[in-house]
Amino acid sequence: MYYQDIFYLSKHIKRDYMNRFVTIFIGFFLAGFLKISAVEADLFKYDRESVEQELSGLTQLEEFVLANEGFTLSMIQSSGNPLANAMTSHTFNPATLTFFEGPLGIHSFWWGCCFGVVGMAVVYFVTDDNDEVRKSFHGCIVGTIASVILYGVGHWTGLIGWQLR
Amino acid sequence: MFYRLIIVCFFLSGQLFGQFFFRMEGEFSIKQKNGYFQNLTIGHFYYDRNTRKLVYKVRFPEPEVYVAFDTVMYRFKDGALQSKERIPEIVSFSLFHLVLSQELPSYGLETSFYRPKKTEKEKDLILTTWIPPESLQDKYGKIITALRNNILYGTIFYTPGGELASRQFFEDYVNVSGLMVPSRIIRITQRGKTEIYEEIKLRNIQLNNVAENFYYDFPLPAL
Repeated sequence: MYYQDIFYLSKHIKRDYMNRFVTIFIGFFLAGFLKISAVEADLFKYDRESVEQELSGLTQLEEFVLANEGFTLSMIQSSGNPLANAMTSHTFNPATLTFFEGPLGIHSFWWGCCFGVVGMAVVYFVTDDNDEVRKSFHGCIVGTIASVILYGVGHWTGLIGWQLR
Repeated sequence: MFYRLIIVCFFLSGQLFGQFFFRMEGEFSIKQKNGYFQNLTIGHFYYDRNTRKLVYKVRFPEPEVYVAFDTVMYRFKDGALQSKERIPEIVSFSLFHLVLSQELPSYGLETSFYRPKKTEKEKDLILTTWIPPESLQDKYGKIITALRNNILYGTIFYTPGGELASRQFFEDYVNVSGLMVPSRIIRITQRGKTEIYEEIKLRNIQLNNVAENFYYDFPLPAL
């Protein structure tokens, strides 16, 4: 489901219990000297009301769907119910819940691949995330190479513009 | 001989009379908002520790069935396979698996390569910092778990560079046949300047339902 960070742990189960014992011992020994900062402890607080406020449109839609068994999004849309406007993405993919999908739900790679430098700029300004920008850069390179090859093939076969002689 | 018998009985009693949880199902709602898109998904989930199939029978926005098995995610519509794609091996680290195996309090970290670095009390929370082995610290960041009354309250994930990656809060626990299950999970993921909000709600949770074999062992096509 939403298991972002979990998959990191899916491998590398270590069986060296002696190391574990030593690590735990050292960990507890150091605990007296290393305090978890108050900032980190504060991160375990969040503003429940503001999260509920952010999700309020979806909550109204959720309540409607739970009260009306069998209703699908297309049925709600066709009935003209404004609650349907809360949905701007219709894709459920439990695997990708763990990964950022990029602006508008489009993977950053495809932004770069389809829109080149402009797509990279969109990713840069929207996400402000170096990893996402790197993905869009890879997409940009792949897109450029693919365009050059397609263009060359097009000319070679005479389908585009001038023909090689 | 007598003492041996007593010792054997002592250890067997735990196995014989201890409750073994192997199936979990219930209704779920997932709400996501990241500023650019909003999504709501409602359906029913099934998980069986033996078959290791995690099945989402989605009814909203449109009826579909998703099955996560091993490293493949299958998508079915009207009984026909629509797609399958490779995914990381998430099933045995899903919330459902952690609840059934009673590993949720440590978020499954005790049996992973992570090691506890420090533990301390902060008001009513017990905070434990988990770190990956040195050789993996360029790929994985530290994790902090918080226990409240011996149940998992929250987790904080960091990037390998030490930046905040995400926060999760496990709330509104319900007691289902003696197992404590969070019925509301909030996840706040930090992506640059934006925060992605997710809320997962679980309802009507059932354990060890042996009547619904079809979804617990959903038939899958050969790879």
